[in-house]
Amino acid sequence: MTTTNRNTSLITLAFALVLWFMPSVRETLDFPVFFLLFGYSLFFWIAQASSWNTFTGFSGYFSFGQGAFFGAGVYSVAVLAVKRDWPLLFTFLVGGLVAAVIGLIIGVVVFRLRKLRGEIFALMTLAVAFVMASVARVSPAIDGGQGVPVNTVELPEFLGDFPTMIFRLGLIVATFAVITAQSVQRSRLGWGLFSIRDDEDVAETLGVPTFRFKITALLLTAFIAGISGAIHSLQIGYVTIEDVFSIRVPLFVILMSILGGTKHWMGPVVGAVVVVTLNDRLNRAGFQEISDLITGGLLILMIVAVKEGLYLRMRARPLRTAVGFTAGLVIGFALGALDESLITLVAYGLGIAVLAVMLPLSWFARSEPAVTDDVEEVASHG
Amino acid sequence: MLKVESVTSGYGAAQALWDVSLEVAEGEIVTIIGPNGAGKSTLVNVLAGIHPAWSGSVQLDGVELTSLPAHDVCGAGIAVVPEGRQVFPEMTVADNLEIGGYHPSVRPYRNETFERVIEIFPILADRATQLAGSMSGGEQQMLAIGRALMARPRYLLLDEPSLGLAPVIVENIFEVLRQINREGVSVVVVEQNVVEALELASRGYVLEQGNIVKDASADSLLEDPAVRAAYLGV
Repeated sequence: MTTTNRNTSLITLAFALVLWFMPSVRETLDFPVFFLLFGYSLFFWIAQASSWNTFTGFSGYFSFGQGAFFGAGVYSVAVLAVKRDWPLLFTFLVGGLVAAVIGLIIGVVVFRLRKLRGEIFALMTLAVAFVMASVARVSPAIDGGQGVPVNTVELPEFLGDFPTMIFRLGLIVATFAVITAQSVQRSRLGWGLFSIRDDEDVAETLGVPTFRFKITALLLTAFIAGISGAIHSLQIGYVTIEDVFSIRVPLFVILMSILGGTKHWMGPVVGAVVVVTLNDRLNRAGFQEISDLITGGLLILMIVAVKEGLYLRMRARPLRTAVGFTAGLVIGFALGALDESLITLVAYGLGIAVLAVMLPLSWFARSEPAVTDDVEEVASHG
Repeated sequence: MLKVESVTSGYGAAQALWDVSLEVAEGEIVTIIGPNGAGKSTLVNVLAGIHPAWSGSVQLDGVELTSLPAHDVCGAGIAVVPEGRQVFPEMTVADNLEIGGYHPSVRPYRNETFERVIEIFPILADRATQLAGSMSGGEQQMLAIGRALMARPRYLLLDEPSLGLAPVIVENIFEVLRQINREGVSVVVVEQNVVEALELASRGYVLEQGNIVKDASADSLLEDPAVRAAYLGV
């Protein structure tokens, strides 16, 4: 709440502005094109995880609806831009709106009924994605089970070549998602959501309009997830129901947010960066089969060892994080990671930093003073 | 005047309140006593608007509350201190209080209300940045009351404020309730701690199996042989 203010969003914006010029200076800096695609991958997951967290992390309502919102975005482009020749950029916006309408329907139905809190809510949102997948499968106007080739769509020229375009589009949505999360966290809406997470009935009796707040947050989540999905359809190229409505998106946003921490907007960002980077490097190193296994294992470890999430833990132990990261860089450098890619080197740094903050406190020093400003929760209270 | 008329309510097929009527005048302290399962908490939840009444009416100065959404009931002038305290454990003390002053009708006054709450419970100022869940039971109860006061209620409704607290703390909290009442807030205490509650209140209702079975001055209830036998074990 007070830990994030307007300046945070200005800094975020400035940071995004610098990244915006990355494609322009890429050749001068002698970075491979892959950096742009990797950057997009980060942006995509940051946008998805941040948007998920804006509703679920802040309100405590566990949603699997991310797949439905994402899928609505993807198929908006597939249907409108590919099959009906609508202008591509416009279909991105439509994708967000379609997802928001789906969010609204879920919210109006589910939030009216007190019985549908907790697990039932999670299952309902999961079911929505399944229903959407079936509808898409049987209706030829949407998919009909054949898949839709989005790569045939004509890209607007002023956005540059494909890597530059997707990088910048991803950057815009990720920035929007992060600034939205920041704004919610410091607003009355955020306070209301936090109180709902702790005790919804009490929040309601204290004058928090819980129904309206939950709907608002869910709409924001759905809208951002939808736009992000719409853009992602270009990256997928050939969209199929099995891929789009798989459990992958809802599962990964949960993984990233919980890993990074759900109580602060920065949590999903940290989680997304760590998971995407490590996953990418593991795949590259030839561990495709077990990379999900490793990220899954990491999640289990994290839930046990770092309940409050990586971000708050790192913030509470900045020294250890910095030392871990630096040590990782040195180790990576010594092992010749830089010969492969800068990303590999960073992955070493992140990996060791994560391990360093995960180790129990007692291994290093006697307990450090607890940080308890605002939303932060510290391990000692856990 | 808080006027409850012929309220019935329950859960599915199980009826918990049968025709409950009661009145609380401006400036009064009234207690509702009764054994476990009498329907006390259901009654509180109906008054707070978080559990629907099947029939009957709850009126505050002529305004019907049963048709209001729960988050507007507190705007109408009733604040609830829920059973078992129920502070927001993962929010700080200051944020808990801030949430109490959430309703648009009281938000403009929240700084001055905050000052007043801090005067009543100075400990909350000391603990402002601490997580509410890390405080002791008594402190949490003070926070729950302070949070309710942030809504500037005319009627303060407490569900078993003595639950799980040491006698000396209960005494302290009831003393604070007297003080709050002297400042013009009507107090309704739902309690199992019958002696303390009747010593605090001027009038009492006895709720048994969803019915108001007695309605009398607190003193006469304290003397009532049936009440003494049932609740005081004498």
